Amino acid sequence: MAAPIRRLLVANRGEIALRIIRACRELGIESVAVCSTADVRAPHVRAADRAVTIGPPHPRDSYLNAGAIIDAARGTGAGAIHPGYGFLSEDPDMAAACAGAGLVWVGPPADVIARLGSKIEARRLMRGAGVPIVPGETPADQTGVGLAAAAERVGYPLLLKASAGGGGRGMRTVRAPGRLRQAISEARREAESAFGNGTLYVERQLIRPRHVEVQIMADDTGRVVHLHERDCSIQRRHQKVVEESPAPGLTPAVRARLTAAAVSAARAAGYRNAGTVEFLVEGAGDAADIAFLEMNTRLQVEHPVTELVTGRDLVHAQLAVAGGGALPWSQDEIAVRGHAIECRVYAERPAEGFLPDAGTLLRYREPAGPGIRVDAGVVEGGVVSPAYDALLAKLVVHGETRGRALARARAALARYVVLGVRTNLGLLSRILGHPRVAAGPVDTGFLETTLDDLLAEGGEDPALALAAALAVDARLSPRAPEAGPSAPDAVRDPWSTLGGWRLA
Amino acid sequence: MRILPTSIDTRSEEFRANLRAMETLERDLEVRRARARAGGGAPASRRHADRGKLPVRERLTHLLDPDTPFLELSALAGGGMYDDEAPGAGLVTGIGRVSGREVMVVANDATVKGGAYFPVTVKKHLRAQQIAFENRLPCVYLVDSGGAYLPMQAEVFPDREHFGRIFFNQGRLSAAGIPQIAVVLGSCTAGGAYVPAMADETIIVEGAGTIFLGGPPLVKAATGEDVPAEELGGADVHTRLSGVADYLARNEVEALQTTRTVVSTLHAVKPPAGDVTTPEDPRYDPGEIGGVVGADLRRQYDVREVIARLVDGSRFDEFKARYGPTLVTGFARLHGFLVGILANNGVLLPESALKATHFIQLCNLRGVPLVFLQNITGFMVGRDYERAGIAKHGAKMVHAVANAVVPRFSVIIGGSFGAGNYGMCGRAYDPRLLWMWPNGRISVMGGPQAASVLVTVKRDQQTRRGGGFTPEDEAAIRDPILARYDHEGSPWYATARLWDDGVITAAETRPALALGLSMAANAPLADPKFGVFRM
Amino acid sequence: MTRPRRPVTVETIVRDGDAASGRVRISGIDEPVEVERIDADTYRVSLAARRFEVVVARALDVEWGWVDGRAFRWTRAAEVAGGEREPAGGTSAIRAPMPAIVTAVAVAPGQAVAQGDTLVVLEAMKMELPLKAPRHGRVTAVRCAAGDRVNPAAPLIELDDGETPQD
Repeated sequence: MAAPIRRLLVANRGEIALRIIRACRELGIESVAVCSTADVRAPHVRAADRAVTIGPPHPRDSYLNAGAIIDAARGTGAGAIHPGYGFLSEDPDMAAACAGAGLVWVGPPADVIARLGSKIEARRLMRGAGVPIVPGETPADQTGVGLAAAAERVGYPLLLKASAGGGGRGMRTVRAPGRLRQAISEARREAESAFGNGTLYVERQLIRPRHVEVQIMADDTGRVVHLHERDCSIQRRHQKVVEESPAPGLTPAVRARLTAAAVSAARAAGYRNAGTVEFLVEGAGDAADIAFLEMNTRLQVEHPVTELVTGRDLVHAQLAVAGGGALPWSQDEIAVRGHAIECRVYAERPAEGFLPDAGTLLRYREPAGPGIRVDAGVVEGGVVSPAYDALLAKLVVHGETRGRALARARAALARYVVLGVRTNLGLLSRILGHPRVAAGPVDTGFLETTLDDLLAEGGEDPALALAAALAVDARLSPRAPEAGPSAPDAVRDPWSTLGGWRLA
Repeated sequence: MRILPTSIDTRSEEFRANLRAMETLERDLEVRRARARAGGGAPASRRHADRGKLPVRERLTHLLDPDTPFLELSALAGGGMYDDEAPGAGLVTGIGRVSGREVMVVANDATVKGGAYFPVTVKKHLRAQQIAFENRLPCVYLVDSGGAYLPMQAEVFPDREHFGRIFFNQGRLSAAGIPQIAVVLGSCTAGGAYVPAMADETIIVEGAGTIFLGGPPLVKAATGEDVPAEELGGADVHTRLSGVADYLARNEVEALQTTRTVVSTLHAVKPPAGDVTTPEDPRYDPGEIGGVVGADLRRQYDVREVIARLVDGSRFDEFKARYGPTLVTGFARLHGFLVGILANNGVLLPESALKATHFIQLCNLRGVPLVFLQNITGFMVGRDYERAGIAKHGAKMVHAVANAVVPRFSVIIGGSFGAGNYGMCGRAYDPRLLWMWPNGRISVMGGPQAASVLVTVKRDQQTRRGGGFTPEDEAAIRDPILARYDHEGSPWYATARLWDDGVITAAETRPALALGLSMAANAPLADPKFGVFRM
Repeated sequence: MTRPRRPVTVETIVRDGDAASGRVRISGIDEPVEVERIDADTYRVSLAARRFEVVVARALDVEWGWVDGRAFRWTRAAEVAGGEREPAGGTSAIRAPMPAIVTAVAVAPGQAVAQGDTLVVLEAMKMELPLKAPRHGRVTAVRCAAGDRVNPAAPLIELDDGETPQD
């Protein structure tokens, strides 16, 4: 049934929509953007060959509105839908609806999404395939009593997670039984509002684990390859902030165990297209333990680091495979060269509890140069809306070694101009400059525990603030020459400049 | 210059409620303007068109330089008067640019009772001539009028400021070197004949324009002579035989083109502009003013929020910011023109009046035009203030306003009550132009205050006579007064009677002032001179 | 908590068109500065031996300055026309500016208020006159009640230099 994609609808916004549209251009595929009424002038709308407005700003009415998106695809004659990440990307109903409408879904089939989306199913699947898993369960009894019993079985500290979703929402760490009750109600509330399903999953929290994930890719013939691993341990509240590839400090043996487990997992699931198998790694050296965390059935935010170290274009491959093609590369063609680091640039106020910030981007200038890639969803003059994810852009750098990549990333961050909304750029720079990060691997608790130090102003060079203040002051001061009485008549004369003005 | 800050939260409930209230008033204004623009209505407009005549506003389009503004004056004159039979007073006046020159245009709207002059039409015509005189604007009269409205001749003809004054003014204006040009597009009968006859140069349209002291019916009655209008006083007669008109045009468009040519030969050059900088939009949206000001005059706001939305770059150099803070004074650029702004920020106190006097003197000596933003309940009353000499301090302010020779502009942005109106350059103080916002109110005092004064007087009388005074008695006095003040204090009542030069929206204020300032630059300033300030 | 601020004084500064130079003192450090405009929104600031490129922008009441990957923002309220600012610290009274009737008291003792919050509404000369907090602080005493007739300079609210609300 699959045939090469000629026209693709991109069911997303922001940087990932632009990323996919760019790939379409490279492959000669026509692109169709969708947008909410808040986004009609957004960069992704301008970049696409055509665009359809699908509803009001609230995601529920637009980017999460499966019916409107499928109608848009039909109306524009698109033969396929790429969901990006977030929104409907891991919704089996959406994938099924696509198939029902005769549209190609750029991702795994609905049943695979459904199977892997269920924590219980996924774990059963992995256990069967011999993939190590983190102790945990979704108790059938979802009352406080049932969850408390499950918690006892799994052991503290533990994580409460929304059974239906990911991305850190509906997730709570519980260090002791006394905290359980409140964590349940919070997690459930979040899970319900984010995924419409309050079922909770109880999972053992490992001691100072690292988050390492393996990118895999599979085609319709059942061939599966991996594209090595990424380390995403620098997280805040389960939101990744900095990712890199390869994962520092892994021994070849552990790396081999991880990639092999990932490929087995994909095979066991009957996987198609791009996916990511997430693991926790506990301990060091060859003896490090690995445990399956979950499988993400979509393109990841952090896919560019894999692209930079492998030199492979994941979106190209996704589109080829979705169009019925074979995997463009064999496993032994996929090698890792150098080191890549991604920094997620968010519009937020780190010093004020990471509140999202919104506003107009008065100045927006990306760094550029060898080994620097910026995947952005914004342009200067654009508006950052509070209605959507606060991710402005991803700064991804490549270097010969990890040390050079870190230095390149910090230099690039220092040339990144964003004015008009507050961002985490300063924080990112301080994270990359932290001695523990420079030294090598950190665990997933690193950012939370060092955040106060990172945010303290102690290390700030007062000369910077002063220089900025002096320039602002210079600008505010009257500038005689520009505003002098020598302005040409036509400019000064209201009869010339007001056009056909009338009292309306 | 320093940039004014703003503390307005455009998302606040208060802002939005204010904005809604102001928008309601602005919609009312829009409706009233549309009604006035419709002139005598559809049937009259059709008859007008059937005679091959253009609607008055289309005539303006042919006259004015393409794509240039027109600052219309008192568009709502006559509203609600004479059973609403004189929308716009049947006359369109305003300042526009013709052949690169700013001119005063006075154009009859023949769809309104044949362009007849009601009392308020006369007033509007005279006001236009006064503005032309003060600002040295050449006058272009687009004449299409049957003359005085005869049923009201007693209020139109005999007095000093009546019909005859139009021609007196034409004579004086001409003598002052301010060109007078008439374009005869319809009938100019009886007194009306003097408009073209008194003009420096006159253009007449063949087949439509006629000029005669007595029309065919009067001639027939007086001498028995039976003469068709065209033969009695048509274009051919006047350009070839009588010399009453100078240029013959075959149609209206040609007449207006000829007028543009005539204006181009006036040889009157505007004095070069002095210190004018490149205009800059305000940093804050003038469309937000409604949300700052609202419609409730009792609610005070910081008038700097209004200034910040009117002036270039929202820059304002405040003068004496710490002294007499109930009046804000300072310098700003408005469309590049330097202006001195006086804006009420509360009741006038002795210090505020002294500050105003000081500031007006400053601007007057430097030749800086003054802009008054009027929102004033009056001068402060009470024992302490009378002892402090509030009356003489207020008098100094009024002195300064009365004698300032720099161009003065007034905008009533809120209340205009009592002596505050005088100090803030009300109509009687001859500002070059005076506008009112639709939320404005104007009366000698507020209605409730007037009612309360009268109630107190009446109650005291009754008590002296030993009579009772019931709440019903009080209501019988108070309610009619409240109703009357409410009606007569409204901007519609005011503008209908030419107490101002028009009701404009907050957003229209900046362009209107810009055009006004440019207009004022046509006239040289007299030497500054003040009278006796009581110290 | 208010953070201790470095006393910074900039000694003026000779301006020449878009360029400026002068001296700056930070906690006793005394250095020459030079500011030079490079283009519409970019300045070069030379401070002692160091040179910085600064990109500036403004939106409504916020000024932004970017230098070396750091973005700084200032709300403009601090240095504006007519901005009379009470010295920080200590207790101060909010006083009636004229004889008036108190129509409403909007705060209670102990309450934290932000600059610009309405404290008391007066009525005089048929106008409502809201008295606003001149700065952040805490109400230590309320010395009037609705309906009171007050004289000029009567203290109505005592305001102390309480904790600065989060901004």
